[in-house]
Amino acid sequence: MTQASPQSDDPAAFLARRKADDRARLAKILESTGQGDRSAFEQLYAKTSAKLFGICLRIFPEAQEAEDALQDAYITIWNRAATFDASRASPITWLAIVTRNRAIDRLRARGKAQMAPIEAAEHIADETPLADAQMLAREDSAALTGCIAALETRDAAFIRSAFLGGATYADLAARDGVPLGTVKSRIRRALMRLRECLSG
Amino acid sequence: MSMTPLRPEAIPHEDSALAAELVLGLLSPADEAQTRARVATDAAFAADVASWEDQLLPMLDGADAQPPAHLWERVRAGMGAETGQNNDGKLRFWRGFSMASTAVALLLGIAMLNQPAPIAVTPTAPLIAALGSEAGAAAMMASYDPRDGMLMTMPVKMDMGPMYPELWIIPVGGTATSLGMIDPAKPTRHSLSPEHRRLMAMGATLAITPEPAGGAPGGKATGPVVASGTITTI
Repeated sequence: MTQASPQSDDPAAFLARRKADDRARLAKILESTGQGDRSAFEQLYAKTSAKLFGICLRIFPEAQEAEDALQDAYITIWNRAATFDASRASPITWLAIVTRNRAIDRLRARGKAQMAPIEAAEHIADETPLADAQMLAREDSAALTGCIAALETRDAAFIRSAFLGGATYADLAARDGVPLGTVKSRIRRALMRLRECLSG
Repeated sequence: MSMTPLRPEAIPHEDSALAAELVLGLLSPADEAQTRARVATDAAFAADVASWEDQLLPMLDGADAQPPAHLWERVRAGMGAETGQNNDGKLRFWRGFSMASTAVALLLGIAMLNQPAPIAVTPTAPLIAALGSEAGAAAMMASYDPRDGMLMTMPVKMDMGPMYPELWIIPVGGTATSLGMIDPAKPTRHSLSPEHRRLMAMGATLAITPEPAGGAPGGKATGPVVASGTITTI
């Protein structure tokens, strides 16, 4: 995306600027949280809980489990906010990854690695429009959905089972009854295709 | 996309695949521990991990959903409990520890550049490891005295849920071996077996996984690595 002058009326430039402003504001709230500021944390919760609850519901479709996972995620965020570094990560990515990792820890601690059915792989992202488009550019989502759809269906399902279901290579190999090395080289090839598609 | 940092061209394909495997959670506990250690010591690799996180993020996105109102009360109650232990002094200690582990990682990065081979350490120098992770629930310092084979574990933070922390040693290119369960609450001394002393002397990574009471069945880690760090000389 090209750098636009502040006066530009180009809508794409306007959206990019607004996205950058939102990111800076959220980063500031997260940094204040890291300094132990409780009202900043409350603001962070108000701004991000709907999005992070959406992530928890993707990993735990059952509402009660998703609520437990969300509570867990926010307590981790409160305790870990001091390690957030705005020069290295986007605040919403950081929050989403902490939430995902905590939820997957919970899933695995119960011995519940989830396998995505092959057919579910075709719908990686919901068609529902994002309620808060400021949080995430819609075009990023469309690009990933398109690139995942371009993979072989089985590879897409493997990737989804890992990221959203907590399945490791060993789990995937055991499920398919194939040698570990076969699964590894297959997914590595898919990941390289995905990388090429995303950077193209 | 203005938000996604440009992927550094210097990262070879194989390394980028490894970065994606780490983000997706595909790796075994031993491989994950080693890869997390690499994130701490290799800036280009860490940037590639961050770039994969940004790019895979839309996959996590469901429809936004408002959590029930009482959930904020539960979160706040959880914070309260934490604050009881985390008074200012402890918080400062934790932040200091974060910085210390970054410093250790930077030193290590230099050491690793100069010595790509497994770090051979002199048998008498004391060893130390700072265990942590970016988003993990645990942090610990460990020190080891090769003269008497005593390993001291000093937990900083151990959030294991219903599980118990088990400590693993992972030699460079090798598989994880259990060093046993550790006390999540207080510093503890452990006497290492001759085999474990040999592994410590070879230079390795220490890692913690949450396991059922009594330890991982069959001596094979079942939980995810919640903290890891590389052993180095002081």
